[in-house]
Amino acid sequence: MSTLNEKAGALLEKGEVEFVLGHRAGTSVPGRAQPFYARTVEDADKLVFNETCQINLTGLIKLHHRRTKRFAVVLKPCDARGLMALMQERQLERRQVYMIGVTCPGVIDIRALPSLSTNPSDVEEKVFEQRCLACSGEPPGFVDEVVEPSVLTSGGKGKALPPSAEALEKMTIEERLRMWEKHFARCIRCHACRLACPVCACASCIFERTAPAWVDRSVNPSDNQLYSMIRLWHLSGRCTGCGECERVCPAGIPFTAITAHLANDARCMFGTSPGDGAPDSDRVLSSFNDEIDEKLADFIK
Amino acid sequence: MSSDFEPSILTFLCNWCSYAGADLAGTSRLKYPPNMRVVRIPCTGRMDPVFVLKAFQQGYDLVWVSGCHPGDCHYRDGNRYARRKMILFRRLLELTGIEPERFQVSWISAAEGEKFAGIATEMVKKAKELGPVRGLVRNYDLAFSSIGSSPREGAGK
Repeated sequence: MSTLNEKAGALLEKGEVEFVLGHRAGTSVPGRAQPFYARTVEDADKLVFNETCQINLTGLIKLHHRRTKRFAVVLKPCDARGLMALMQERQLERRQVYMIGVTCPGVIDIRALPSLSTNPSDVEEKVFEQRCLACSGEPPGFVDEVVEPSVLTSGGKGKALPPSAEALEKMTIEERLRMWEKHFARCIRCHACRLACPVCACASCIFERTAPAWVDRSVNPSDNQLYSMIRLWHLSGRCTGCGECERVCPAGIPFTAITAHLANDARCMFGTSPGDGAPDSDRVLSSFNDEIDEKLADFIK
Repeated sequence: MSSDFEPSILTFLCNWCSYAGADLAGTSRLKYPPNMRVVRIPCTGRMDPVFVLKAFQQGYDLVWVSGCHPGDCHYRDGNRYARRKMILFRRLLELTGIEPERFQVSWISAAEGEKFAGIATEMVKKAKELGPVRGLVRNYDLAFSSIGSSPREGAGK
């Protein structure tokens, strides 16, 4: 198994890819690595992978994949699923990408650091992002190559659902309503969740429609909740539970409590999960199965 | 919840089966409560859960969608695709604190006028049980809908 730097250098030297998109050491905040487009063999040496590589690079790829012929990208398991989900929706072709998989130890939550200038290696008790607490960290089988992990510690616990999602499941409908009303009242409608999401990649987004304008532009509890519910609905059956929405939200809205369920439900209910398998795998809402669906739709009169 | 709460129900009926079934209920002079506002759609496959969310925001207490039985869809599979959407949508409602029972679905054919009247009566009963819609409702007077009632009811709880 080669290291990440070796593999990236080899790809760039042979001219097989326009760039290798990965991470390099953060310059503004030690707890967060920067996305980095390595275009030369010298650049390849700057690539790193560790627990500060929180950003889902598929969220960047979706912005420019139509302008790139062939590229390589360093993918955490959650990133890889997001990219495969886009391929399943024909947003880009499998042959366009050389997927470099990494075994992920989990990424740290910088909001849990004592201060933004703290170096995570100085912290004894690392606090990981919510979504990492239910991930095995193993790269999916469809990546082109898995490179040697540069960090050997493990943060993922390999459960079905992270703690926040499990807690939500145990609440009553009333309690959930109060919880989400409290959270969505703080939404500032910045749309960071939409920008960071790997599968929010529609060329024409529903929220940019003016005739009809589905959500009023004003910031108020009702329209804030409607915005998120429409986005969550558009993710149903497609969300891979990568947790970027929660990570980037300036108001700290804990979306993972719901998104982890979206990903899990698709798997449990229909046996097919977004981002798993191959580009031509069945997608949840583009297929049906009379036997399974009839049982699940027992509420229909 | 006051005993004279009359729910507002938004109803989507597929043109080929359920709308015709509703029409049959009418021509047969069957009695059912008048709380429904009907929207005719070509097929349940046209249903977008975003319509349901908008309805709740505008203060409808329950949304009822009715279409052809699976296998009888005029467009072959429209209702099958719709069925999956409905399954996932009810789950989303549940997770965000809106009672999934506020979104009801039925398969009613063009010949089932009696079934239409029966289900319509059931829907109103269900909506009365659930009470006025909370969550999502736009209430310009109060910051949180959970500490006030729906705009139609007036002062807070």
